Amino acid sequence: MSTPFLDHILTNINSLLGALFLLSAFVLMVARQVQGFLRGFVRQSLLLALSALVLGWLQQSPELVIVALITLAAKTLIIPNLLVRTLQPQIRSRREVDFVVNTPVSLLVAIGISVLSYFFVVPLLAGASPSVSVNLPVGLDVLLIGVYTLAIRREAVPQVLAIMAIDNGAFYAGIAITSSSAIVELAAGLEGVIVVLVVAILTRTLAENVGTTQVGAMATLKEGDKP
Amino acid sequence: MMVAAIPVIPLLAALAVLLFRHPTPARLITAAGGLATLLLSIDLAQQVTHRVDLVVLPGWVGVNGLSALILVLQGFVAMTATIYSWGYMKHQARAGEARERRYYLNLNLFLSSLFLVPIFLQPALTWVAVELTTVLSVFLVSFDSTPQALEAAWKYAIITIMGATVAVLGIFLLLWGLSLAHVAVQTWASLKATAPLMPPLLLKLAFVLILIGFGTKVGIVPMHTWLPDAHSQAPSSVCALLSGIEVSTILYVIMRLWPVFAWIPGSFAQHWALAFGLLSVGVAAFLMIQVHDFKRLFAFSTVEQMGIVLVALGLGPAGGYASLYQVLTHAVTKSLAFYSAGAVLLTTGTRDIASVKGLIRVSPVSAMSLLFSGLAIAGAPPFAIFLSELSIFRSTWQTGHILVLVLLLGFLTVAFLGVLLKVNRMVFGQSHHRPVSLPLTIRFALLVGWLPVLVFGVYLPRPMHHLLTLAALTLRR
Amino acid sequence: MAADVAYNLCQILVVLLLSPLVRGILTRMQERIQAKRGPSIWQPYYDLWKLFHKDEVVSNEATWIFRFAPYAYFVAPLLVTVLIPVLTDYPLFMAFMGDMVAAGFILSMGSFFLSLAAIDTGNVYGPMGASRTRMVSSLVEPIFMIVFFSVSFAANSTIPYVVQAHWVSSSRQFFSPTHLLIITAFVMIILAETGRIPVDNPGGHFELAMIDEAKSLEFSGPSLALIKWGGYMKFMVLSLVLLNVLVTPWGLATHTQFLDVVASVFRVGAKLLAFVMVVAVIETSLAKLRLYRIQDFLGVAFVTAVVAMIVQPFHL
Repeated sequence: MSTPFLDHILTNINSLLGALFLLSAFVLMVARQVQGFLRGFVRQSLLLALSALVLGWLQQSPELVIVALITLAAKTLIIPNLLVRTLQPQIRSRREVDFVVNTPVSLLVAIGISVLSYFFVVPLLAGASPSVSVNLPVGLDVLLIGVYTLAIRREAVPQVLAIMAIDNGAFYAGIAITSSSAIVELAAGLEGVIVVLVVAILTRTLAENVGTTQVGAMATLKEGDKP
Repeated sequence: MMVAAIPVIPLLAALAVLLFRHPTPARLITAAGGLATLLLSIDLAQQVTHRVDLVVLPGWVGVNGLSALILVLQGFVAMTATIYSWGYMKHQARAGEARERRYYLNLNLFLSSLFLVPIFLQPALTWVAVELTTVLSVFLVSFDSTPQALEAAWKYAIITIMGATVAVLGIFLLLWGLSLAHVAVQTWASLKATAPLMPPLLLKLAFVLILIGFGTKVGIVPMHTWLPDAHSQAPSSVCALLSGIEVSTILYVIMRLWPVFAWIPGSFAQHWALAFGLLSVGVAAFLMIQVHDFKRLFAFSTVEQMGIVLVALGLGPAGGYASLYQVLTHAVTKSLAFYSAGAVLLTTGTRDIASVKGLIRVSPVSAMSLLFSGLAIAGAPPFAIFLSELSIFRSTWQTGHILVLVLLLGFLTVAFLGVLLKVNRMVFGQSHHRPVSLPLTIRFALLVGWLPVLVFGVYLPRPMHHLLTLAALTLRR
Repeated sequence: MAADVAYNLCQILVVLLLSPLVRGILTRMQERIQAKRGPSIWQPYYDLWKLFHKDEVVSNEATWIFRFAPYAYFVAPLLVTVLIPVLTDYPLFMAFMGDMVAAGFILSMGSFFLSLAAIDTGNVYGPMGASRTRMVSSLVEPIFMIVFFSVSFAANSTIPYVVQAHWVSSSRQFFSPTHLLIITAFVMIILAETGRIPVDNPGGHFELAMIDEAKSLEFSGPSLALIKWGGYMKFMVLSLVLLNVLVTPWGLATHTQFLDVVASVFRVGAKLLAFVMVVAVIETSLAKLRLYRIQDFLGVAFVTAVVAMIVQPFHL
């Protein structure tokens, strides 16, 4: 059922998904509304699942289809629902007016990161398949941009979602370069859900006990001058 | 089958805690579970020394010398911590019965995840276990529910989960190396065997990602920022677990991959380990002079100790034994230091160094324990760390890293002065605290905790030496 | 050779004569989408006719730049016309005189003179418009560059005819993500560069909110006509680059017969009509951005172009 022409089309679709995946990392970096951030994350996860499906077809690997299903279930359904249920006010009404670094500078930094990750990976790609040469650099790039996004955020929910975006980046590279057993994938998916659950509960406790979810403003623990 | 039983015991204990409404059975069950895991892991270590590798479920679960060492240490700290928790939680002013039960539930779950890390044979599963250790200990760190504790828990969760997520890409890269060489089995052993066939660049990239990723959770400078917060805000029994054994457990993952990274040409991995190790030791040593909180003092000492272990790893095969020796002595000494700090906290009700004075007049037991565990952690003879640090100095000298040796000695002197200055101020002088008698279980935990620190300070028992040698062998490529 | 010259003149004539019509259709379509009747599609011709028959008022303070600028602005798109494939897909005799970067430079030279002229008279609104246009242009410029460079990565050339031939020859390349992203980025910078919504509102009459229009406030009569006409042509030329070189490189005349060239006028006209429809929908469905948000809009275009370049080398 697999023809060279179909394979070619699917490879191209995968590249397009890769480009959109990378763009989604930029969108997450600059999104101000918490709700917009959540929506962007869901879209990004959707792209990850789609890419896993396409690669699953290309490589004839049922594991990747399972990965796609797990990603769909965990990251586009369970995690967003979990967050919305536990942190309704934080998601609905919070927005970040100022980042630690302003948007144009962030864009330049992120582009620098893109070029950097590309340079790290390119020597490894000699003789690699087209899907690997899209997914590996884009995955590393999204991972690093996710780390940067996490660093410039002050609000709790975007920080959690930034971690999950880093996770997306790692798995985006992972689906192209390796195939783990379904049990491992299931464990990893479940683990992501537990992470979000725990951090969401922690955020709620923060909102109740400290009165704010501006985690970037918390700095009572430090050395030097006495508190 | 005993390997699988070790993480299951705390899990069963957690379920049992849920069954009882009163905290007393929970205390008992947890302490019994701790003891059982220790006995099981010792027995396991003995089996490993006879048969080298113990595979329970081929490709999934098994133990070698290194993981047996980590298991024994985990078992020991878990045992003392569960006993210590008994008295500590009962006397914590803020702990009610419901909260105490929740504490034991979380503690058992955390212990279970901790035991999971060394027993898996697949790096991907080990990664899941590492993430679980973070996730399941978040509520232990935030247990006091003060703004500071919540802040610490937040930083702990976000930064270390981020680190582990970065590391997973490194693991994926290594697995890619396997598939490039057409190896289907994804275990530590197959990685070790395939490493020479992998492109050096792939190994380099994977090494950097894994060192930075897991290094975040080990508390290597500059990714250490969360560590002093989390390791000081948690209840002292949890601090002992986090500082004493959790960091070493994560370092175990890097160590397990060490034979793989040793194939990177130009001693790449060793140089990075030396650089990060020295940086950690130096930064932590100077920060120890500035602290105001005696639990933070010991937390920074953990950063310093992990730096020393990394330096020893960076010495190559010659430093393997010494680095594991240091892991061993650090685990027993640091847990003891936190037990002592917790005892002081119970006596005085403050963590502020400046407001504690003349402890020796109020509570001689906690005062002496704090003083000597401070000395022990700073590396004074005749305690365990002195010997292990000596063996690290020796391998540094033998491998010709004179500059490293000089820097290390300088930093350790600074750290020694820092610890001594702070502890001295707290123990001696005029007192204004009310005398408090420590609960029996705390005294007992302190006693048990002191045993290995004193014994290993004089000599290393033959079975222990055997286990260390075996574990050091697994570090070679 | 003679045919080449004739076809080149044809291209210039087509752009010269049809560009007001393109604008007329665009305006009409927008009004229709907003459920209004709208002016006739020939309205731009009437406007030009009227303006050419009016007298011109020039300030005493104005220098030669003020008189010269409309001509520069009018001629620039015509010069670009001879460099790009308007009707034929084989290079005409001026085709290798300049590449797409040169085309960009020529267009911005026209805008540059207009900006100078706007400052020249000392009118309050002129300099405001000029400085705002400079802001937008200076942000657009690097995106143009990146788009051209990613195109040249794929086609190994920045000569429009070669690029066009490249996309036609390989359908594999045509559907690559790079191509789609380049198109997205290019549409965004066309909107910005020709002063359309969401960057600028060409239909607005409020001086404080103007960007592009403010520059021509001081002009009247034939000068104003030239500027308006130049604006129409600039939009058409950029659209033609997008359509004939990047998005739909088909439908151009492939033979040297005169009839084929005439037929291609209609084929290209149909493509233009479709594109104008798309622009009309974009413009009516978006709101004009606040001045300080323009950089975000262009930032998105910039990132899109960079991402296009990053994923590029893997599809050679």
